Amino acid sequence: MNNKASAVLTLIFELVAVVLVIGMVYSIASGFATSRTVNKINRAEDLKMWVNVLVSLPGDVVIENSKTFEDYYINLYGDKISVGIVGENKEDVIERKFILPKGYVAEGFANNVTNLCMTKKGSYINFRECSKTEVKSFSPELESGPGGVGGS
Amino acid sequence: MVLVASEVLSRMNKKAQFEAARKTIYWMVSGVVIAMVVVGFAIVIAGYKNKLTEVPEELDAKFMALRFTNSEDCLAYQDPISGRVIPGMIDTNKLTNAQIDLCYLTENKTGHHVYNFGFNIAGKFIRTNNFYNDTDFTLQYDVLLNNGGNVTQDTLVISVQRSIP
Repeated sequence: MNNKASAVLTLIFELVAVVLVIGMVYSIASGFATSRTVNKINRAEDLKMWVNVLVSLPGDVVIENSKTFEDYYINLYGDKISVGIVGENKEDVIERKFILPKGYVAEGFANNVTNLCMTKKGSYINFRECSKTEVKSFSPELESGPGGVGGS
Repeated sequence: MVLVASEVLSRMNKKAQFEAARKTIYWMVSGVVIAMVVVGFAIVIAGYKNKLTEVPEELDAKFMALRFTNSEDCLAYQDPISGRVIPGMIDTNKLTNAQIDLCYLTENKTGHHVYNFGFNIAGKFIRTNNFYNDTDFTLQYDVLLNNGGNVTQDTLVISVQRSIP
């Protein structure tokens, strides 16, 4: 091999290496820029705190979460809540644990929903997509109350 | 035609061999540097992500501690006739470790890694099952104390133990 040939080979190798490095940095940066992981973690933390709030409320309650969960799925089971993005790997799901009082049961699943309803009935906590009737049935009372409290 | 490395080198002239060796050393060094830069970049991003998703410990503890004063399954007073629960009013009969275990029980072996609480009220001290007096911060609540129908005002001091390694 002559000098020119080796120079061409090393140039190709350099170009491949540079493209690889740029690709790696770009994939890390773009993965972060889309904020999917951050959004998932924030949603999981948020829902974990909602479970704690529901436990602390005496009586029965239905709360509509103001966040949209489009493209996300939520699985509430046992002492865990997991939040994932529809279609992604199982390993990328974010899980958060909580502690329930004895006798409490938490369960529920919601997939790609805009209205997430969090309910507590006795010692049963459930997360699911809001049905059209359950939230509306609460609205007239809330809207006619002092200060016009509405929404969630 | 397939050439092995030694054949390739033997066909090179001296200058080409030197050039190839020089480049190889250069790329070995720069490979290590590039790897370090990429790993460093990933660590910085992970740190920033943790900052973005961080929940203040006190906020987390307050949400958990809400149950102690508000839920009838914890310490809150429940009227025996009407069944009405009065949030913020503590039943002195419930100030026992057994009641706290019903309300907030951590796992025996791993429970010291999660929040645990100690409660000071009405001269009594009760605690969750993995509280070992390693208090990180305290929360205070003005509460009413119902002692068999006799209601007095008091302060509930909750010592929060974040985690023991």
